[in-house]
Amino acid sequence: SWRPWSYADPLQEQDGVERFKWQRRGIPFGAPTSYVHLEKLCEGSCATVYKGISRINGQLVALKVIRLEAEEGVPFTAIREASLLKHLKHANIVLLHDIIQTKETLTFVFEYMHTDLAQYMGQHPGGLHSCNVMLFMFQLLRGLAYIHQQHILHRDLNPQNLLISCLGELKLADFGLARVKSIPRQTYSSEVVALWYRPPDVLLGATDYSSGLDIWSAGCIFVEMIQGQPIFAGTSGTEQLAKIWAVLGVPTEDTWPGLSKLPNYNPELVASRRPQRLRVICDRLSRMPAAEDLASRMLTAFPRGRISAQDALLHGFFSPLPPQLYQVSAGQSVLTVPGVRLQPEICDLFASYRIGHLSGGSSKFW
Amino acid sequence: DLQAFREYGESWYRSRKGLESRFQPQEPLARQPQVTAEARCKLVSWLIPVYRHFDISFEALCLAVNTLDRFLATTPVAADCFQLLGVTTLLIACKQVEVHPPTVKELLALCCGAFTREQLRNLERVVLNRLCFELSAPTISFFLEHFNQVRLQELGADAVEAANAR
Repeated sequence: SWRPWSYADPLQEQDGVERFKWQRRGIPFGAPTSYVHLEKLCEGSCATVYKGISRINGQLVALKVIRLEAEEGVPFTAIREASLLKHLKHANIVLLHDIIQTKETLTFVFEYMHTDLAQYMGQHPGGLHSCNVMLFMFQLLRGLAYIHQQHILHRDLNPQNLLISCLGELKLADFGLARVKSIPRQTYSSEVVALWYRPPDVLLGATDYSSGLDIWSAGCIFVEMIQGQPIFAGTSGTEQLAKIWAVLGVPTEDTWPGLSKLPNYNPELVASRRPQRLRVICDRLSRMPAAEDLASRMLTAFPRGRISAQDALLHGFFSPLPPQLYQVSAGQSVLTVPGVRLQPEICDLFASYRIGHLSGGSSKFW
Repeated sequence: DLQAFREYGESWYRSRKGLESRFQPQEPLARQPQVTAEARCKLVSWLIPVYRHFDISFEALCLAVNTLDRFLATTPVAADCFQLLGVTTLLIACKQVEVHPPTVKELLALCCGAFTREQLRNLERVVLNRLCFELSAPTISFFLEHFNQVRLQELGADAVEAANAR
């Protein structure tokens, strides 16, 4: 997983764009010379991400450079990401502009995004502004509803994979673990999703999961945005499950048909604990109307009991948002609706230079 | 899984059906100087026991054959590289849908050491490049399962249970 840099100097970006403007005409897609590498953003096990500029249109881009020296050839994550993203065109899915192949490397050219939700939450500790939680969550669910309609599971939703532009647009990224669902559902790997965002069915070894997998992760992210802390932060699979059961109560075959057939099911755990309301561990949930209800519909232990992304968008939690949001076309950002914009976070009000940056004139890069 | 099928079956079908024409191989052998229909038949007949040997899904096999045919429509292939193309497209398909794809070493062993790791890796890059990573084709495997589910649904819940029990 990777993160674009945040809070780069907007003036420098402007200079960069100006410098390369004159070369625009006749520059092809797919050629290494069509993009100028700027600084390195981050380095992963098999890929390095650079910030760059497209000489085709002067736009800032993120260049994900994948090394191809691996024994097994092109990494499966790269094959899945590229083949799936080619068919996904939505305002809340990161846009894959171009693919460049050379002998040693494979480069995916993505639109450049300012930051990601993990960094954003890190910079604004203690929970986000309620309007921003609503705005981010609506966009997350909108992106999820779109990919679930295409029968694609993301399988790796976590705050690092949700990119955020300086306007407050949120986009799903990192489709390296994603895959198309099939009927009958084949067995999938249970080694998916970062531990904190992994649903109990997958922790119990289920491999026939469906869109409810992503919904659980989205629910965890929802609570984390409100509370400012991850809701279930275990260090092992067992501890993760224990933390979940401590809140939701230990499920039984009655509340979860098929539970006892799961590989990691432990019959010694008796349903001694009574389910608690989520606000018991996340007090800030009670401050936002309907937030707890939406969260508990997403964080339901029985996978089929979880709300769908489509239904979650219609939940009363979003009723303060303008109704025009539901009419916005797939390719269009919800931030085009009048009155919908990112609100300054509390800690930004004390750091005026950041406000200037957030609402400043750098929007043309996106 | 009848409930999932009732909820999503029809929209799954429509979305896959809509993509079908985009992934239809256009006369794969028309511009092949060396690869004949007979050679293709032989290769596919060989890939079938290979997919059984590795216990990989029918979906992966279908994807491999689709990738093979669409690549043949774009690029002339020498007769002595044809088997390598077969295992390369199988590898690409497995990387898309399998939890544990066969290793390059295992695939090369099936070709009796006729090809090197470097050759397979090179061809993999060429295939991905020629097809511009357009790989997630709707498959026969998908449509067969869909029509089977439609049939079971019409027969009613008892038939579904009987079929699942088998």
